[in-house]
Amino acid sequence: MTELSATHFLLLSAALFIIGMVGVLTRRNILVIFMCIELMLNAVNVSLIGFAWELHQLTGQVFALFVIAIAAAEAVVGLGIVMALTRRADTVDIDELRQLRE
Amino acid sequence: MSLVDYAVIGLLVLTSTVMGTVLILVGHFVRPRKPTPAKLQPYESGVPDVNPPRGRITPRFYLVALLFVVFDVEAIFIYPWAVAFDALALYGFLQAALFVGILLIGLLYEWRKGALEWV
Amino acid sequence: MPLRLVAPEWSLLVPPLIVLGTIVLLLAIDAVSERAARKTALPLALVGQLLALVSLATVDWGQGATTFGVSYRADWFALVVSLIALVSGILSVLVSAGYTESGLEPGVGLAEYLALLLFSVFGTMVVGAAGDLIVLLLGLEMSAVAVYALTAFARRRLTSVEGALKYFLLGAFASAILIYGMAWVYGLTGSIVLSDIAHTLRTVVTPGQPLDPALLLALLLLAVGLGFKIAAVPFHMWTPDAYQGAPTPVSAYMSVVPKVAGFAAVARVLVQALQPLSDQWAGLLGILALITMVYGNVVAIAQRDLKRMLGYSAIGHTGYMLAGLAAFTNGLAGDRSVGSVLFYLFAYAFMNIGAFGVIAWLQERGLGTTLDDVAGLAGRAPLAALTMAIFMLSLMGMPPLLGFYAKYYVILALIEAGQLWLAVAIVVMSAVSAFFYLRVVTQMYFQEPGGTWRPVRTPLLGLGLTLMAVATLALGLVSGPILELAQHWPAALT
Repeated sequence: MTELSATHFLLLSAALFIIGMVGVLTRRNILVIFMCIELMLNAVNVSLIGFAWELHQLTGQVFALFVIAIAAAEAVVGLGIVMALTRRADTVDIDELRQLRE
Repeated sequence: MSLVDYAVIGLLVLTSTVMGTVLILVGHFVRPRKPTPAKLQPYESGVPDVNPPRGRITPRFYLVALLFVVFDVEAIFIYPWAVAFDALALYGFLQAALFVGILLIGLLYEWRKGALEWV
Repeated sequence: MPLRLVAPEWSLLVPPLIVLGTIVLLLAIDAVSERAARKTALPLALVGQLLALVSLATVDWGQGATTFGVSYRADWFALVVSLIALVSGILSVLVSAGYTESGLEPGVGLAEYLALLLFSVFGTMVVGAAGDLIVLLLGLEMSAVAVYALTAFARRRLTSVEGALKYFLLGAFASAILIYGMAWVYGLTGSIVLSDIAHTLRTVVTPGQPLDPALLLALLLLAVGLGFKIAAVPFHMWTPDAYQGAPTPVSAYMSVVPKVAGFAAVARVLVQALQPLSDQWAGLLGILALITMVYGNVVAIAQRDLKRMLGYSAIGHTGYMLAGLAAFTNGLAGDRSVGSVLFYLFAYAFMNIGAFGVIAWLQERGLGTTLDDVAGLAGRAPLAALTMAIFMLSLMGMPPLLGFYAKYYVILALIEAGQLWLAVAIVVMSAVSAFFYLRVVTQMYFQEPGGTWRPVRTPLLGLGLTLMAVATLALGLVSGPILELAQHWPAALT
């Protein structure tokens, strides 16, 4: 019970991932949605580290490094778009963005 | 350390959760509800507030933060190389130099585009 | 622990490196002198991509050589994906040239725009050549993230930013799901190398037995993540908004190249790495293909805005391509599935970039993007109307245009795989699509023109449209060699 195993990593990761996913699906504030996506990505990193730890490999850790870099790239482009949005629309509520429709 | 040793922490978490919840709930049901505009204002040392409580932050901060994030995160690729510096020898150094060189072009680009000016 | 770095086989990397070099050069020139960049950006982007296209001939793709360990594979599949990406990239640059709406006139941010576009082309080439999950993911993200930024490029127009935001949020969400799936695949097989994953899975999976639930979870996560990237129903919500909101040349580009990257990733992940699970995913893809093509084509009927209509039609075409993948029969003799999809993507590049190109051409002349704006075009500009009609008929699948051959090969693959129901569905949905494609043609030829017309000269856009119209007319008749090339895929993926 007290021995740390890959299962613990995976449970933590799954919990974080689901919290993030529910957040993305239920929240209306763009920045909060965005933070939830980051949470999901970091949950994946926990999984990767856990798997790498169990397999005694470095591959998973390297993968996690690249995921961090991808998350940063997405964060920068995404926040850039949000900045452009607040200059135009002065809102960060996703439900108020209704210009594009049938 | 067995799981029993953690029981104290669990007890603390439990107590604080229950106590907090109960206090908020009791307050919510017991207190009289007579709102006036003055009562609904956020507390500002007794002085009526002029600006909205959440002041606006200039987008400049966000821009700097964004640029910081990019270059900050690239550092994670330099750490593994630094750890294995001796083993990777000259060829590893050249590869890392190429990597930093490409980053430098990015830095040059944002410098020339005026993203680093603080107006 | 002794470490040894092996120099990569540079000769295999020439085509993507030329594109990367062009990007760095574009940004460097722009950083040093904006005036120089204004003059050189467009020719540089065109020449860079043309050079990369030519340099494809310098690599011996038949060898299936790998470099960076096995992370980069120079095989037939990589060749065809690079070819489609570069051709679409060149056509998109031609369509973007001098686009005046919302600050894309020559000079203003043009170098930046082209650099982003080339980044996306580069990413797509990397996906095609990916030998492991990390490289695949990096390519996919490079191809997508650059397009998020491009979608918001008309940042003074709220719709552009709104489209970009929706595209970005759903794209990032999908990436997270996709990476989680990759993590599980890695955890369960102990490897991120695509061929090793397939090798390990072959020892684990016995056909006919129920699948390990963890493996099923990984497969579902990957399918959902990739489904978002290629805009398959029910993961398509971002598509119409992003297509309508983006500057029209960007819509043209993103309707093709990120989709190429998405399908290349599907082929690399499902066909190559998860091939032992093909019993599970082929059925899943078949169902996705059916609902995607029905939804896309039916909803497109109700659209008045041409860009939005083309957005839904793009979903429909995703359905046809997914149907092609569903015809997968383990790469045995006569398995044309992936090859037919590659050919479809190739054909789709010409006709769809062309259709958006005509809309951009109209916008240059002061018109909007709705059906009313193309009314009476034949009287005003007979050549433009003829070009648009060619693209519409080709998208519909009228023989002997390129679009017909694309659908024909997919149907052929389905029949050979014994999936008649999907083949019938494609034919029926093509008939449904005639409704909205032909409506554009009747509007152009049988209606009175409205709106103000501002004659301007757009030579490069005109050149691009001519090229695409001629290709759509003629390439179908000489499709043999291209299809031949695409059908080499089993050598690369199995």
